[in-house]
Amino acid sequence: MPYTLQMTAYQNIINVTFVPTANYIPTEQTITPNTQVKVKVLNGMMKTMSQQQLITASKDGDAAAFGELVDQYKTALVRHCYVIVRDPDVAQDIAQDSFIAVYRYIASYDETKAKFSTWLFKIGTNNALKYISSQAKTRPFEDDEIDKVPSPHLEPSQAAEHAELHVAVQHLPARYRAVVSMYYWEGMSYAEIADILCKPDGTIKVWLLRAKESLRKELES
Amino acid sequence: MKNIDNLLQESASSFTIPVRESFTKEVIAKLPEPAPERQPTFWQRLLVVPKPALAAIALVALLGIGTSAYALGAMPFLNALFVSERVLDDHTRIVAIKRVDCSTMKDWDRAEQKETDAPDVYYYKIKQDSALTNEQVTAMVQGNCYLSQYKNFSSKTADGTYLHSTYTVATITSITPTSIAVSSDEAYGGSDKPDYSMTQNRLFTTIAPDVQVTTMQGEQLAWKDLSVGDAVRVLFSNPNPPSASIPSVDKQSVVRVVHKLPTEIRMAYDFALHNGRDYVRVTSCTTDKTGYCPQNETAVYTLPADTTAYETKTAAINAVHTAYEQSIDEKSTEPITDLLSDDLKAVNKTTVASLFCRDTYPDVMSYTVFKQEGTSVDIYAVHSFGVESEQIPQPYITYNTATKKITAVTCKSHAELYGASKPRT
Repeated sequence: MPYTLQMTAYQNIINVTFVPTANYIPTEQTITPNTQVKVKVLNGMMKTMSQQQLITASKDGDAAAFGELVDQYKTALVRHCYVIVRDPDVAQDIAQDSFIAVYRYIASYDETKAKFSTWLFKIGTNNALKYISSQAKTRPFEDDEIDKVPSPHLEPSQAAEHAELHVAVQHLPARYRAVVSMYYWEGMSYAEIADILCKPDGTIKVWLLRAKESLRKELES
Repeated sequence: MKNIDNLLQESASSFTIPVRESFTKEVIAKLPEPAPERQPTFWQRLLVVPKPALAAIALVALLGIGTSAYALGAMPFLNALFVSERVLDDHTRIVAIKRVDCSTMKDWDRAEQKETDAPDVYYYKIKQDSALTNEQVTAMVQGNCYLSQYKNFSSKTADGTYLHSTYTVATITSITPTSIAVSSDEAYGGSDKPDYSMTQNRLFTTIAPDVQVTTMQGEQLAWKDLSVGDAVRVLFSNPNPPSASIPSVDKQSVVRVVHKLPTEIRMAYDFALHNGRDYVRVTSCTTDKTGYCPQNETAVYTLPADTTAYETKTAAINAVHTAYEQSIDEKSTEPITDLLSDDLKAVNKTTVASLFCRDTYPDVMSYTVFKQEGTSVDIYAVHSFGVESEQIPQPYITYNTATKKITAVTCKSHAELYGASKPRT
């Protein structure tokens, strides 16, 4: 009954590529409510809208505006979901479902209570964790599912170090992967992560400590 | 080796996943109408019940998929019969309910799993000031029996397709001789605190010529016996194999069975909210002067001798958390001092809480708050990725009311802590 996440195409495995720094799309850490983006509105005209305006327009049923929000966050959310589920196709399905859920309930979203990204990541994280927990036997993660392409912007040794780290992260338990992703890669605070995972701040700190300890051990071994 | 913090931060920019070019278009194509601002729904209320009940409904839901043909005619007869009421000296009352053919997974009332369907009598101790009536208690037991029968549904059809079920109770929103539309609230997000619930509307336009319409007791009904507003469960087949999620309804989906549900099934859900507040389940015994003792599982709520009061949620969480953080260096059996928040010290209350032990799985963290009489007033649970097992050691925090300190954080099994309780299987 609670496990009713609708997703498809779980079985396909595709390679995951480390891409250069320049392609990194930031999350709300740099997309502030005042960030202006151009949105193609219904009459085909381009209109500059802030994130807050995009949310307001989405509440009014403006799919184009919501599409802009999707564009802003899709890379970060897919990456985050991937870190948890370790399957890129599933990660994209979960991210899509999460966006759809957000749109459906955007009228209930209260921007004074939580950042949009926090709400979005809460739904995405929970959906991803729900997917993991719904798998009777979680598919073991294969290291070679990550294609370790050296980034041209990094020294080869540094790129290899990063790739090794990312593989090590994938070996962590799901909850640790989730907090590592949110804290280090999405730049969220303890409080935000605690809100997303419905845990006290202290738990998040403990999980991060344990995650780092595990990573340290694996990288040193 | 670099500092792991620095390495993680540095690596943020070098890790991304290719996103389909059509990602945004696909999302927009699937966008539903935004829902109006919602009030808490039935399912949201349902899902704030104590976690064993959550495990029960999850299992009930998942076990709805089986392996053999969908023979609903074999549904066992269910019954819950009011037997007696006895008012005790303390003005609580004992309500006895006879259950027949009601094998359970794990009931809302924390009844143990039964190996047989033999008739038995369950006793519920109802608080003096509770508004629960004996009829409601009986209906709750009946509802529990109904819920437990979900597991008897099966999935593989004779033509090689798979049978799927709407897990939750659905309501018929429209019905014609060739179609049926149902609506159900399904919870998404955290298991204890669902972030939102979504009303799923499903329209079936293909009805099997031999569609079965039954009651849960196996009574055969006709299609014409269904009407808008009825609570039902729909079983439909399509080529998609069973999965954790309900498959989308498409043109290949064929309605095979419509299961008309009794109203009591909702009573079972609602009743769960009263568990530990308005009632506890008890068993007949000689060791208590009342003649009734708490069930093993409710014995969980019996406090150790040095803990005698209750706690507020915030203070409990603060205290427990501080204690836990200081216990992670594995000095968990050492006395821990100066851990309590000021408000906790001021109110002279006691916390008993279970946390999770190192390197154990599943991962469960819960804060349990107790009344003086030993019944749970609330459970603040964060139930992560599995079902709690009493066989797994749990951290255990003891608070000394005299010194107003948390005195120990230890890892103990449920049996070590509570003795009499047998581990659940």
